[in-house]
Amino acid sequence: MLTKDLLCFRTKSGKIYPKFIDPKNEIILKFAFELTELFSSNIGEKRETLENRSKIILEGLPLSVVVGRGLEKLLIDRTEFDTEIKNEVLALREKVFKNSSTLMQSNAKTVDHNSYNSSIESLKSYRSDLAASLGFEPENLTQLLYADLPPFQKVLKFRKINEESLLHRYNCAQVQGLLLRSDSIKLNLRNISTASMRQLLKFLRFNKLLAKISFEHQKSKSLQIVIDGPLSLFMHTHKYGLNLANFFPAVLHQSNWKLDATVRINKNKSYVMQLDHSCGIKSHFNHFLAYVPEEIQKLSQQLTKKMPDWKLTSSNEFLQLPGENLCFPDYIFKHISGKKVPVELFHKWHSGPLINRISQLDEQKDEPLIIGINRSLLKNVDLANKLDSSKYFSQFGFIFKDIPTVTTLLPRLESWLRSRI
Amino acid sequence: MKLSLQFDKGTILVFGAEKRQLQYLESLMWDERTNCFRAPATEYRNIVTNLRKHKITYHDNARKFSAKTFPLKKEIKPRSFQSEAADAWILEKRGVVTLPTGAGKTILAVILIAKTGRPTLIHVPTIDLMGQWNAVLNEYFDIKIGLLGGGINDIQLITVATYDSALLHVSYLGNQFGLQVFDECHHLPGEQYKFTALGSIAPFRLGLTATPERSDGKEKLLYQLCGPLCYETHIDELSGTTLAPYIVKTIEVEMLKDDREQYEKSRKFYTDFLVKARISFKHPNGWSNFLRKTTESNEGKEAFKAYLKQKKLSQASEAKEELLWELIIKHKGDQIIVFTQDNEMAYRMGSKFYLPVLTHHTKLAEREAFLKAFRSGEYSILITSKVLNEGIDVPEANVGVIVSGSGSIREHVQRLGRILRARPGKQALLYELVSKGTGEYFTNQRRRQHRAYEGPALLQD
Repeated sequence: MLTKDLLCFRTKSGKIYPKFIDPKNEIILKFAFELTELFSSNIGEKRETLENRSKIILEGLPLSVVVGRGLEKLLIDRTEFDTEIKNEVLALREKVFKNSSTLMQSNAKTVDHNSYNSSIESLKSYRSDLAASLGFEPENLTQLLYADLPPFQKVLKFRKINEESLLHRYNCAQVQGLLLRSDSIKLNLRNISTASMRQLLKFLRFNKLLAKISFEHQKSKSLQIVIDGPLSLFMHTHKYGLNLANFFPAVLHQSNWKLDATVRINKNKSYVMQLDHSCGIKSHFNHFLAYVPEEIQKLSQQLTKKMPDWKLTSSNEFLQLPGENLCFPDYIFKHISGKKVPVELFHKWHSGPLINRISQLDEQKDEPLIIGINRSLLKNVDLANKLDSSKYFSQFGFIFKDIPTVTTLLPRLESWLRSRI
Repeated sequence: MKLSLQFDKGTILVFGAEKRQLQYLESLMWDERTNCFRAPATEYRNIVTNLRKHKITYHDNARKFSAKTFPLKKEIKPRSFQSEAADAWILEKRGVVTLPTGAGKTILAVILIAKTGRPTLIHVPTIDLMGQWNAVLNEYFDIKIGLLGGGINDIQLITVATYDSALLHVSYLGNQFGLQVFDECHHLPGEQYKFTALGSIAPFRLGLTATPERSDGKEKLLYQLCGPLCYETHIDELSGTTLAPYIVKTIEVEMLKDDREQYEKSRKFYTDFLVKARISFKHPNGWSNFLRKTTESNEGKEAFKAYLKQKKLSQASEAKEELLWELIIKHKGDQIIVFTQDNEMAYRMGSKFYLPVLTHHTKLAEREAFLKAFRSGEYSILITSKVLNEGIDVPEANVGVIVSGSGSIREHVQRLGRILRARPGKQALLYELVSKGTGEYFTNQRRRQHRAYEGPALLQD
């Protein structure tokens, strides 16, 4: 992430435009290559040395110094420095300060407060006496006394990145830096792929954001999503700016998107930022769609052994429930007959959404999905009562402890299958 | 369905409210995103009070704390002003108490935690203060004290947290505590920190500070979040009794010839650039215009370097270092804290004089060792930039030297407060070193606009 002083943008007529760099520009790519090479090849060097060498490279960059410092900041964020406590430096300091206390008291006796030279001389003799007592030259001791401060820390690791990815990361960070100062995002998505949409919503939850989703054109799978946080209902706040900024790279994985955000970069003035997929920024979330949670892998293995008639597939579908509510199931179970059953899980932090879902399902005429509920949710007396009185849950719901097991799932899957015959 | 309350990420969800009941629950708003009523968690006290007042039965699934007793291990004999402050706060169990540094704010909080009898979350701005509160709470309460911050996540019935960590966890912990204590509560109205109060249901709130004033005028928000100012007393009112009597001595320091030449040269280059680029710092965007223009040309880059150089020279000239050495020697036998504007300056002086420097870079074990050695008299001098500005208890310190600082009134009052903890026969002395004939003079004038710097205790050299 970039700090405010490293953001590059221009404003015009109430709009704010992040200044991107061209990730295909050969001259900039050359500088980016030199920088990434420098960081990769300076493992073991002092931070100060690395930063000085980086400065030399950046002096030739034919762009604003702020751009160079921004690129450097992103590389430093990928670098691990040795911040371990250095016992030898601690021990040296302890000795020095003990000696300095003693020596200072005795030295004071010899100073004439009215004489400038006497004061300077006393400092000189204090420094040389103290350094000598520990076997050092005064200047040498000055260098060693705080030799564990950040400029002297060694470079331990660097997470490699190629030059083009660095430039994309920079452009992404420019947008993120502005989103840090925004209170919500309006996102329009067209031709949505359900798999990536589902991941997008997972990232929403992961970043503790809330969304109001509405269809623009149902047939063309066009959605509008307004994203903010729980307290946004009551106030314009940047509280969720960091969450929105962290969420943004997930947007870049959608094929057709448009983003609107109001950014307050100065205290009293807001600007509108508009971006769409034509900005060409590549996300640094490399495995956006490929990630398979561990519990799904385990459940899939159990299924193969104990329920050969059923197969677990990743959920690529969403369901529309009463109103404009969308449900993105966690699993789809496919029977050998070809029938598919969506399953949605509610964990202990989902009590609010669960109450809503039960109300919606009790109004449904058909049975769109099976729901699984984490046992800890039953501690909520109201929720437990609501589940007790829900016809839908008694037939198509189940309770699980940590993750759903084949034993808890099978009866519900069979019940659902019977209802479809 | 009976009305029920639930805590959700810093807000209260209300289910099952009937239309006629909504008139009593003005803070609720319908949330289309989740199809339920919602209010900021801080409204919990009002919501519950109104439900009770109108005899509406409800299930409270939001509150995850209950009344407790916290007996004190040893008796506290409060000073008269502490008793007055406690009596004023307990009426509403909400409010801000303003007491000078060293007047015993922590002890007041201990008294009120015991009287309130609710799980308590104490917010502090730094790790050092977290350790200090932990020590005091352990001295008076016979239960394990929790800590949240600095890599520790141990939640107990009474927990001390840094503002930063409390902010990170308020989405989950906002319903676990009935009393929130905000030490140095002038931090609370900050753009982010305010959510530690807004996102919590704690009905009881105590704000503690020596200086509620904020340069952005957000004291009003502080009183909304914590409750109104319910008691205040000032440094000059307690000086000579609860606080040590003090003298503030300002010394104008003439730069050495070389420094003066470099200062004038850099200052001229920088101010000429301002004129040429038509930049005025009286304009609200003056500073950002300056920063932008200094990146647009080589001359601008040089002007920025010149700006930094003249500022550095005025704040930490060689003459100031030499004067500091003289003061150190003059105050043999005293306990001295030296304050600088930034870490670089602090370490430069620490390396030159071979003295302990305490900054945010100092690791916890070493900073505790430094403070212990200072309190015991083993070390007689500590150099620091900002970390000792607030709250840290060093009653032994009787001489402060401000080598350089910002124009902040609060910072200045807090620094003075470091040397004012009373001890028999103690006379506190604060030196301010100001480079003669430089911009630092005006910075110094700005930060002195407080009643603590008025009256006979002020000397000018």
